[in-house]
Amino acid sequence: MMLDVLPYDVLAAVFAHLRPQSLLAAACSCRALRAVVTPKLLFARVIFSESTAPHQLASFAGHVRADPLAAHAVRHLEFCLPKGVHPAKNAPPPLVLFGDAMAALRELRSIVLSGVDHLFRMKMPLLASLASQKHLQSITLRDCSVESLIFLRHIVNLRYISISMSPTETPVCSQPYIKDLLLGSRSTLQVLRLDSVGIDLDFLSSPSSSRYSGQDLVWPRVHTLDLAVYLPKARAREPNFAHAFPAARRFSSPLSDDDWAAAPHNAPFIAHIASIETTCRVMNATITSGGGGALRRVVIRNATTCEVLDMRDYIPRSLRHLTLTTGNDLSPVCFAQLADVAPDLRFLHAILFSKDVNANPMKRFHTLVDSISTLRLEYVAVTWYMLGYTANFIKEHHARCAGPYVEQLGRLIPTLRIVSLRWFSLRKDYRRVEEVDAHGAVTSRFVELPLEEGLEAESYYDSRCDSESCY
Amino acid sequence: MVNLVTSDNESFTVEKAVASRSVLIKNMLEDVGESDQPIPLPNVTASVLKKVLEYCDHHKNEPMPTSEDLAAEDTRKRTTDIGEWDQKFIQVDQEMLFEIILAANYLDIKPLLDVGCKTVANMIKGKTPEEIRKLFNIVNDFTPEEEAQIKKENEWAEDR
Repeated sequence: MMLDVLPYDVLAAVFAHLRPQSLLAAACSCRALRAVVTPKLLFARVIFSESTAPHQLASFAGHVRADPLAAHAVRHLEFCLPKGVHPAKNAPPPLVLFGDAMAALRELRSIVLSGVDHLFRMKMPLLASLASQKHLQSITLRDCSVESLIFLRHIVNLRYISISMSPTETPVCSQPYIKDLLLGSRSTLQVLRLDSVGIDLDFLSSPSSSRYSGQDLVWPRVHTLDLAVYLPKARAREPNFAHAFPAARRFSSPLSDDDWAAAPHNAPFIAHIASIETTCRVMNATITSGGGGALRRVVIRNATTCEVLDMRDYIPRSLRHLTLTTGNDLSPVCFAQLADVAPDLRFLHAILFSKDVNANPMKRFHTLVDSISTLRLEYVAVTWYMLGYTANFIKEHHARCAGPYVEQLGRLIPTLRIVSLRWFSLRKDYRRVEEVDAHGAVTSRFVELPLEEGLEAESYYDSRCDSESCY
Repeated sequence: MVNLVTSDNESFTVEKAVASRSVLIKNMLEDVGESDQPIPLPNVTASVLKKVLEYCDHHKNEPMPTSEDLAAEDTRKRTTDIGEWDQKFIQVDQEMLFEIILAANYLDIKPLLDVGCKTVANMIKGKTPEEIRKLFNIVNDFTPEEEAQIKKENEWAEDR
């Protein structure tokens, strides 16, 4: 066999790219591969989605309970309540089994839980065992309830926290628990994403509202933070960042590492915000209060033309990466201004929602080409959300027509290396990725991916660009 | 310029920027300092080194991956997207593919190793055990009962 010329760590790197199904197929092919794949690699990432059958949960539970090697191999776990399992007071047997099995996991590093409030209501032991995970670094809660936050608030030393509240929750109630969660991770936190959490960072840092008041006052202390705050439109209370960086302004901004080391432990909340993903208003509030000096990456949600034009007063000139999510009405003026506002911009991603069935996104792409031609971009991505369209329509009317514009863009911007055009329809992700080489020659491919993989590919391109453009 | 000598005694003279894509060679150069001494690469043959240097030459102007990139690795582990040029570059027969991977591993060229691993992963992706055996010329040494047993034990991982 050819494969066995590769050393174990290389094989492990190969299999790290594959999903459990493919790993299982490899394990079934011969003894040598089974020895490589099981249990460590097969169990490293465990994902249960909506379409998981109850007997599969039971099978997993049985296996990790019987085999400590498998239980210790689980590093990443995603869990979503399977379809057809109705949230009730008492969990059905496979879920109970599964929850018990969680207690056997010792080495869990990251967990993604969807529909957490259902799990909580079913009194899943899952949440209880989560709080006892010593090595957990990353937690993502979707559709989270206040109840589950109470449960999870004592988890400490996380590097990544992402919380999106269930739409039925009142955000204010969640604040004390989120604060506890942040305090517990104050020296490790690197990324914080809060979605539909009406969080008020002023609240976080105001001593009177804290049980850490008086002499024991200890602020969350984060060196470099990727911050994402989304506010639900209906309760768009202005977040107040005025006190979020209490001491940051006493130092040169951004803080140097020496400043940071010298700062008293209860002093600044955040030294750098490396990237921010939010609406214009929150971003402006953050930057005017002194947090924007080190910003390299900005993602603006629901941007309107006016807001983008206002942004020129706030955007640091060193910005390298800008993503705009917008409806139909973004004027090309916004893009034309960017050359003055952020001359070092290298990465531009526009995400456009096409509500109008007859709208012609290509027309807008055409105007975009003109207005960004003065920037020295390396990467341009445009994503269209076209939920009601078929594959054929997208191929015929959009993907094919894009070619000339991309070539034009390649001619106008000599630094351009990658153009990525994406069309998301309801179930599929269609992409046309163009790579422009040093001589301006364009190679392109049109790919069709299941939606889930498409989203993975998107985060791959984003991270690839981040690593290339943010230093 | 740097002089590299392969296991089959062929020597290659390349720019320092090209050779330094290999962390192994880069470290050697730093340790030795300025010197005209040829660097022996006893684990790499000429045909493979030629290919590897073609990759290094194409990517010579890109920033080297930093430790931060390696930390961010986890998040992008499961995407098997490969850049256009790299994809064409890696279209070689299986033997050469494995040789390139081994060389990239030995020379410590992380991005090339990554391209190689992703290519092998793409070959395996979505295949049945039988197809995987055929692909890599593997002899099935399981009894049918054993194979069924593995499937049964790992039902949770099956396609759904």
